[in-house]
Amino acid sequence: MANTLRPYLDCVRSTLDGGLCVRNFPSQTVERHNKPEVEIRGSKELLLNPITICRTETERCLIEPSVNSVRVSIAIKQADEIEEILCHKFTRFLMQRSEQFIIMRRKPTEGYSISFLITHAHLEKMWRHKLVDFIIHFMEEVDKEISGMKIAINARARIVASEFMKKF
Amino acid sequence: MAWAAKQQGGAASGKGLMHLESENKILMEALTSRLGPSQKREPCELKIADFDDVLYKLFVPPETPNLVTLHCAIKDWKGVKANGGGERLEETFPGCVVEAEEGFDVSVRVDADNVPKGPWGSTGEACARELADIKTLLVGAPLIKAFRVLESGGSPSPGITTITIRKPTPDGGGEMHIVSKSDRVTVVFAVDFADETDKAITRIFLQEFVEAQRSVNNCPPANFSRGSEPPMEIQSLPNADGNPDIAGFISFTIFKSHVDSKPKMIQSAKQLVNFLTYLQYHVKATKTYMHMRMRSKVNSLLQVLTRAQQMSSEVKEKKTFTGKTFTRK
Repeated sequence: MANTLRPYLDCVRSTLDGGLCVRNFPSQTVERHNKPEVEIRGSKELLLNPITICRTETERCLIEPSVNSVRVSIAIKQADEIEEILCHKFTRFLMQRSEQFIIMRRKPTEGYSISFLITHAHLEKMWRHKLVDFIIHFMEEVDKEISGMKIAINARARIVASEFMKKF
Repeated sequence: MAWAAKQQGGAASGKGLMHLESENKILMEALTSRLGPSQKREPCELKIADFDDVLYKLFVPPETPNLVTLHCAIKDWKGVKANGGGERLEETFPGCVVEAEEGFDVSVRVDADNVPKGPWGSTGEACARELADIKTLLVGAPLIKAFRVLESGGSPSPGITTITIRKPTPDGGGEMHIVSKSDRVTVVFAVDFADETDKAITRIFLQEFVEAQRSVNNCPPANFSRGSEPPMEIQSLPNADGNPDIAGFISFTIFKSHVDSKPKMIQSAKQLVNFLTYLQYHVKATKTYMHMRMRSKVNSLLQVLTRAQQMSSEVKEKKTFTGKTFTRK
């Protein structure tokens, strides 16, 4: 697993490194507004080419850069019913706390599990390389957490079942 | 049997939170104080709800505080009564069964000054324990009836006995089907929970019950099947095509060796009656555990994000030891 995960994450990292090249860019249409252009999609020339990085069919990452913001969307692999539910629960749990996670979006983009929106304001307050580190770390941890939870549920179920059977 | 019950109580408390005790704790406390050695003579009217849509009402009138009446409503009294529920109640509390009050299915009246004798023994405490576990007694009656036939080697009545244990969810479930054969009794549960997550977790749990027979000796073999394909045993039922939306079916096959003594028979029935409650309890516990895990994970992720934030570059005001303000320039 690790041998395909590593290049995937490395690729995401270098793409993010390149993509996180943003500057302050106030709205062209509304005075004194400053909106992330990747969300507004007001003008074609302010958007850069979106990049999709795929590890497998279900596991992919979409990076959409623009002049003053970058949107990073992650699709987490969901192999079976329980992983789907765990993933949904976990991302929902995270997105409910997106206020604390500063760069997290409240809703994922269509077709993805979770999205981040990084604006120039964030980059002024944070270290760029550490922000990239965070996203990479996040991607690793989410996978690990979901498989960990799945194993924990199975282990729990086994104990519960055998304890019940022992009582007969 | 009192001895057996005591043994179980000990084992359950020794295992911590693994097993739920089948009796109702509130009822147990109220009854033990009235029937047990403390001989409390206090009127009361206590209404309690329990798992599986069971309702209790404990009534002690102020004019005769020695007469303790327990009213009980269970989900499917009709089905239980048709399959030996009434006889089992009469057999366990001889002479104590009175006419049921409006809204309840059975009522048992016990004189605390003169505790009746029953199969549990003759002490008030044992009687209280038996009364607090009346749900298992009633719902388990059809099982006991089938087990007795199995044990004595008699010819079982053909057909399937269906008891609704709990209110079905919008998709169904909550039923117990008892299929008697001359060498075994198969008990099939249609299991369902309203929530999708609960359903998915339940499926994992039910599959593990099947696995458990490999590691546990002499337990009844279990079989899990999805909602869309109900087990062979109940395919003669009118609505046997199953329901793909329910969590699934699990069947336990009880052989003669599981019911060859009275305590074993009662214990097997007790396990089966409380199966759905046990399952629900652990499914909910699993969800709690998942929640706790997610909480701690969020904290650790937040820490990583906080590390990304630049320290504020504002000059901090510091005080020297003597209290003078000191500013680094």
